[in-house]
Amino acid sequence: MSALARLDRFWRRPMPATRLATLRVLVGLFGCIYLAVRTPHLLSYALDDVDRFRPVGVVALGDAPLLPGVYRALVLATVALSVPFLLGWRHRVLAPLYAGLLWLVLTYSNSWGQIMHTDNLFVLHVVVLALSPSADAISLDARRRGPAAPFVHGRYGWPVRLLVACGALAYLLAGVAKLQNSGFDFVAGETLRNYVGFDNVRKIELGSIHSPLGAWLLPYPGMFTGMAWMSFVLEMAAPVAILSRRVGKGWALGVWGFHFGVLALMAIGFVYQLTFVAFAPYFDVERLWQWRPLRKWGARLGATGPLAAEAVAEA
Amino acid sequence: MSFEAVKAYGLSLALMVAVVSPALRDAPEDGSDKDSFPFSDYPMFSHGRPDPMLTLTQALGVDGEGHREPLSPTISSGNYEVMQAMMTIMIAMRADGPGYCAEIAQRVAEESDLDHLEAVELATSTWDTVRYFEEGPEPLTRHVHHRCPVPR
Repeated sequence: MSALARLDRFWRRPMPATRLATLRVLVGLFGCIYLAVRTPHLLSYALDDVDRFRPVGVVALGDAPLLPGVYRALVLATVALSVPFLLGWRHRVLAPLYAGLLWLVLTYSNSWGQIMHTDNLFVLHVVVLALSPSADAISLDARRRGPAAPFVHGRYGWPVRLLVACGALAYLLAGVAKLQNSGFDFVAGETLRNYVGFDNVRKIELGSIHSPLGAWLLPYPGMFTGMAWMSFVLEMAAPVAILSRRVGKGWALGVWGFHFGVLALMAIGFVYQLTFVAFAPYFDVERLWQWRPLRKWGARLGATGPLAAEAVAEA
Repeated sequence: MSFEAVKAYGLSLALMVAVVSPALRDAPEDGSDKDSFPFSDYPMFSHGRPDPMLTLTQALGVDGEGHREPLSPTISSGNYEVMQAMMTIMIAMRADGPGYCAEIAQRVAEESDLDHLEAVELATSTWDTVRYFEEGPEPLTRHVHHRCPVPR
């Protein structure tokens, strides 16, 4: 078998439609709740202050802030479109629109001097799910059209691979940035300890909450050296998580733990990662519907019919 | 190659190249970050930090006895994201310090919990962040740029 054929077999490996669809449901549910809770925060960027405007990404295509009324309308449209994305309704048209608006609105909210890195992976995952057949099962579209045929197919495999790759590559870049910007000082010196102290004092002095645990551990620099090594190894090992599904599962659990560590030591919450939704693509999530509390819903949504059971067995 | 395969590889390649592209770009000549959204080189916490010193520009409330307290992000910037508040204070102070001080003082006046505050200061302070938790939060140095009364 040629290398290209092997690559094709790997990247477009047949997977059940319910796996991709379950990922859409998880990411969609996260989006609905997250955006609803964050609406007041997002609306607070309806500003016309040119002095504070520091456009990035697609927003940098324009050189002035949007009219506050226009921006507010875009935020509300994004929140509204998160619902059909979750339900898989008119997916081919509405899902790309949702992804585009989400990209624009979150980029705009990052265009006021400080770029936050908490939503990057969420946006990328929504883009992949919006541009792939993730509503071929467990959706209103599937209920209208009937189950996808064939149910297990490569077209449901590559988007899962891409979701995994987007996450893993982002962590790899974080590791590469540390190597580029500070060599091995990050792991060998007291850099992480100093960052924890720096970040906690900064939060207190800016009138926000800080991590008492991080502050309490500052006199023990050796602990931070160990944690720095662990996070660095996890970041640099990210490509293996793309290539091996088994390693990917362990890696995802490790990075999930790393985010709890960041929360505990620095009071920085990567909500998408902490909810584990970011790491769902590493797992056979269609099995969730076999879980007793979800079984009734799964049957109603077509996630546990004979085709799905066959697909689970095959996977 | 089928249309499905072209779509799968086209999208996959485009997105993965976009994700790694910030790491492949040279840093801008003006010294600014390569960082963007949603494609980032994730520079946070990546630079060496061999010492625990922190210098920060902040908004402080001052009570009748001269005690200072940091103002929350919603008061100092109208935004609850602490990092966004930090950037807003820096940018706004450079653009119009006295005007921004008065804007914060107005927000303090509207907050009943902050009745005890009589003035607002925009200041740049320096701390040793390890000693901060061992010996107390007094800064090593503090330079007050602007001070304005809270309108009552």
